[in-house]
Amino acid sequence: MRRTTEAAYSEFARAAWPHLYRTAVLIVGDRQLAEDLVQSALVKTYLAWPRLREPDKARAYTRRVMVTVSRDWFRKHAWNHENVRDVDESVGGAADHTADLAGDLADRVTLADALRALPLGQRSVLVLRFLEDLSVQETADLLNVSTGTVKSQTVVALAALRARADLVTEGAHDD
Amino acid sequence: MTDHLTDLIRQHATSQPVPELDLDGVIRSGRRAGRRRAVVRRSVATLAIGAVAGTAVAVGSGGGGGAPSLQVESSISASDAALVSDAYRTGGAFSRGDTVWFSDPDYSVDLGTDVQTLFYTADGVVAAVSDDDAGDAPRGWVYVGTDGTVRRLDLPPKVVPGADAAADRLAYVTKAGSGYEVHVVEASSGDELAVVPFDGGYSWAGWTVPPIGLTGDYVVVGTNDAQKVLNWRTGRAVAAVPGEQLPSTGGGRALGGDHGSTAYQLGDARQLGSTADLTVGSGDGRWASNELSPDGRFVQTTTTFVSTDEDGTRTVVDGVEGNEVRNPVVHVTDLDTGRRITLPGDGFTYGWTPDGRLVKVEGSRVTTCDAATGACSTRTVPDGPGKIRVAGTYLGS
Repeated sequence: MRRTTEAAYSEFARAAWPHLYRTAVLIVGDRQLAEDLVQSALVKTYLAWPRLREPDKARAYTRRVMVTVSRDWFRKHAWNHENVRDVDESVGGAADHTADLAGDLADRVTLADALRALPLGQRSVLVLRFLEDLSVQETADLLNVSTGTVKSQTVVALAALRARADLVTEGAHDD
Repeated sequence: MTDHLTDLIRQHATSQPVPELDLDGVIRSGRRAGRRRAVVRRSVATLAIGAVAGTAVAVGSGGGGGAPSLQVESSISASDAALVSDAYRTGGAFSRGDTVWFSDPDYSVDLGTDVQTLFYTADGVVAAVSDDDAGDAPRGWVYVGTDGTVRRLDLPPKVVPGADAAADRLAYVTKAGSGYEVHVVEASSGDELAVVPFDGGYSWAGWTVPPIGLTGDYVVVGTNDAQKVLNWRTGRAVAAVPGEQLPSTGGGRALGGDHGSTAYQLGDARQLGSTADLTVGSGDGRWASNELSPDGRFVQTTTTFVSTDEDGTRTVVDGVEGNEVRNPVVHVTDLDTGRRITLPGDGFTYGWTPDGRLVKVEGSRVTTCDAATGACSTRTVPDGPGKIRVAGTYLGS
């Protein structure tokens, strides 16, 4: 790869890394795995860079690779209940436990548990729809499923989260 | 309610501490993988060391001032020509340092300058020579015939030619205005036979012009999205071969499709056979490396990468997850019968002979295998300084 092209790729990778990493953490539920996943995807993006070149195309490409590889990893390891470490290991350190912070911590810890309890497919749908802000069609294309499957998995996943009473706030309404 | 949940998901995500990206590690891995993908192994070794890095080949002047000087010594006499030709077709050609030999070291030619790569043509090899292995010194091109003749070829600088193992011809591409030109040259004389202009996008690899393969009346050019196929005698384009890749050609055929796993008849791009079932992984993680024999009869498929660390430690890993593979194999598929054999080795183990046998070098042992049956025979060549390079093997033994 020519030097100027590699410089453009480097700029893209640095800028995209934080968001891609956070997306990966939510999908795979494990920080180390997420780091490996995104770095593997970025290597493939490096190889494809000469025909991607634009950050938006590259970001979409990297996301697609991440989703595909994560599914392969999970299939190969037969992870029905993803045996992952607690994602929020840093939570509950030497923080000042004010009432608001305790409430926030409870929400985040609970949400992490709730997300980990979802099957990979449902978790992926939630992350792609609501963190990556993809449409139903875009999510279906990325996961290689029908739009009906995306919609139904969204409903089921949200219902599962809703069932965690501690995630529900007063005045919330059902969709 | 959903808004609250989606807000929580977003907050949960943004609360995650982000480790530092090992960008240098990513780029190193990408460069290594790029080298492996770029070296689609062929019986006509088309990649110079500089090209493997994925950058434009800086080969200096091809035949003018600055090119390495030749001091030729040959052990081949005129009466040997028929024997040498037979030995070459069935046993291939090798180089060590500045010496080229045709299968048997008794049939050798010293060029007085280091040989970098060898390309097969019908009655001899085209050798890229340089006084500097690092590629900083100007590169020259030399034809070495099975009758012992040596002729310097006046090719332009920075060419990455394709050669036809069944004909006395090679081809290369140059830029011409906003498009390109294919040049077909008689290898033994350097005489230009045809110049064919063509248009086509090219940006997928790091050379200055697209790579080219040559077989019979057809050149196959590695342009964007699909390989352009031209009849160089008529100048007309014919059916393209799908796939964006380094052309792998022979016997009037070319590989294309996903990972080069489909063989196509040139002219009408009729599909002849496929090794897609050997591709590993899924989605964007799918991987296989396919190479056509010089006579177009066989496809060699590997699904492993060879990784070489800075200290020279060589590791073979699978092409999907990068786990070490202790006993890698290559698959060889007969396109006409569909039969397949499996041999121990990785993507750099085997080269080809001009007539479609597999050949590997291990130290001073040269092994040739029948691609249809897998039957192998081994012979020993004399020791000497430097590694033996086979036409079609990037790293030699």
